[in-house]
Amino acid sequence: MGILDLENVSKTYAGQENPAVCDFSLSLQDDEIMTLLGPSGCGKTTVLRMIAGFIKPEQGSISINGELVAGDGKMLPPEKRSVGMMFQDYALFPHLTVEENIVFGLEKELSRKERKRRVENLLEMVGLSGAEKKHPHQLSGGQKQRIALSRALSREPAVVLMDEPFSSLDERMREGMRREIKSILKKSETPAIIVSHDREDAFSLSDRLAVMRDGRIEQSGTPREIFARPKNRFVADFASRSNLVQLSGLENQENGKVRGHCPLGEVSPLPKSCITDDIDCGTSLLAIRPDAFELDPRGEIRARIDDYIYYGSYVEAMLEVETACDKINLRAHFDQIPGGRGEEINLSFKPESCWVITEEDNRCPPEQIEEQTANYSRRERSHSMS
Amino acid sequence: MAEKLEDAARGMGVSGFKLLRKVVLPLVLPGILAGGALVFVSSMKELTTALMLRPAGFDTLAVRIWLQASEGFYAEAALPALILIAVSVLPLKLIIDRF
Repeated sequence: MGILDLENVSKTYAGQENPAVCDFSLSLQDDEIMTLLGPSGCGKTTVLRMIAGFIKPEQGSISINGELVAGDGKMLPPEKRSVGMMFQDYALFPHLTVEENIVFGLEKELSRKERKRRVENLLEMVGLSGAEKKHPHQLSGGQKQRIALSRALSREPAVVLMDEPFSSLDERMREGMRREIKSILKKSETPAIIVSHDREDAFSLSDRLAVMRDGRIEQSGTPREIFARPKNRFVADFASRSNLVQLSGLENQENGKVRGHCPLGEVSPLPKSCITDDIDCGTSLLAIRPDAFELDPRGEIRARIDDYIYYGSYVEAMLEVETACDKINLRAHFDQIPGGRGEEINLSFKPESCWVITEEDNRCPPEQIEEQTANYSRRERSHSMS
Repeated sequence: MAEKLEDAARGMGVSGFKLLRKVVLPLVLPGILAGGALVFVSSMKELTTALMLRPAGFDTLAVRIWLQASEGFYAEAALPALILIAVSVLPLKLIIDRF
């Protein structure tokens, strides 16, 4: 039993054929930060709103601190639940000062003195001491966010919920705020659930993350597990933008290591941890992360640069390789890759950055996954460019 | 008004009448006041309906101005006209000051 438990929660919106959230289970432990990561429309916000009490689940149960708040015919309204919610555009009350925003609704529970002390403590924690009398319109985006967080924490909730917390901040601001919000949450020892479609937000903030699609969890685990050991095609593509190639032929080598083959050549040795009995050379895929490639004059892979994006600290290139039917996505330091389309380079890749995917993805044909992730990548790209 | 603000208030334990009083009303009040002021001004200067529907001997400012001016007593029309302007300016000033 954790701080927050969701068991087999489902919800279908009226007039919709497919459920927005389907058989969703999750358990949150003390002061854990968990991110629900997924493309838009995957049901992650619905989960959040069900926890907060704005949406009633059709099936399953939700408990906070061991107390049943939804399910079994019971439905506690949001005002009776011990959650602090931070909204996407912060939803600060524009007619109230920072101080009034933070202690909003606490007039009965706390005396004037206690309220004042709580505001002081919270503002100190978020580094905005002295901002009590300001109005939201006098604050910058990052300041608003910090106030929204202190407001979410002001009732000392069992769990904090954040809906796309960084979507309205610019890139530079984001980085700082991610670090800061993480440390504030840890300092206040409050567990949190964050909803995001941004991979970087999810990876940098969470202790655990759950990749969602079509109302279900595809995989949950630490960021490291999700990144390095994706369970299926969707997670590999969405979480690390890995290149997926057919794995063909495994060979045991004399030294006990295993060698694999793929359209890009030989992979040797395959990471031990990904070798399981399920590997079937007909259906298993090899996921090669974009950062696994190295420019290597003696490398076996001969590739032609088809598209090339310069991001400053790194470059992203789409490469055409004769032996592989799909284009290869590569991410490397700028000095490594000569600029210019059409240029030919030799590459090798690190086998330790590869992973074997055995689970078949039969819920969704590959074209649809591509479409989903293509939308996502496009958005992400335009974001990084701006 | 943004629905999110209502959600935010409910998430902070405030609902029902208290929500109306503490969030909804303060946010919609400027709109209500502005609307009221505009209607006030246009009813003050209303002439045709007042002429048709007023009880005998009951003159609004606008009616008084029209009666005097139509007879050529411009000097007598001047005072009610001035009062009308003054009364109409007040609520307009209120609106301008608030926004």
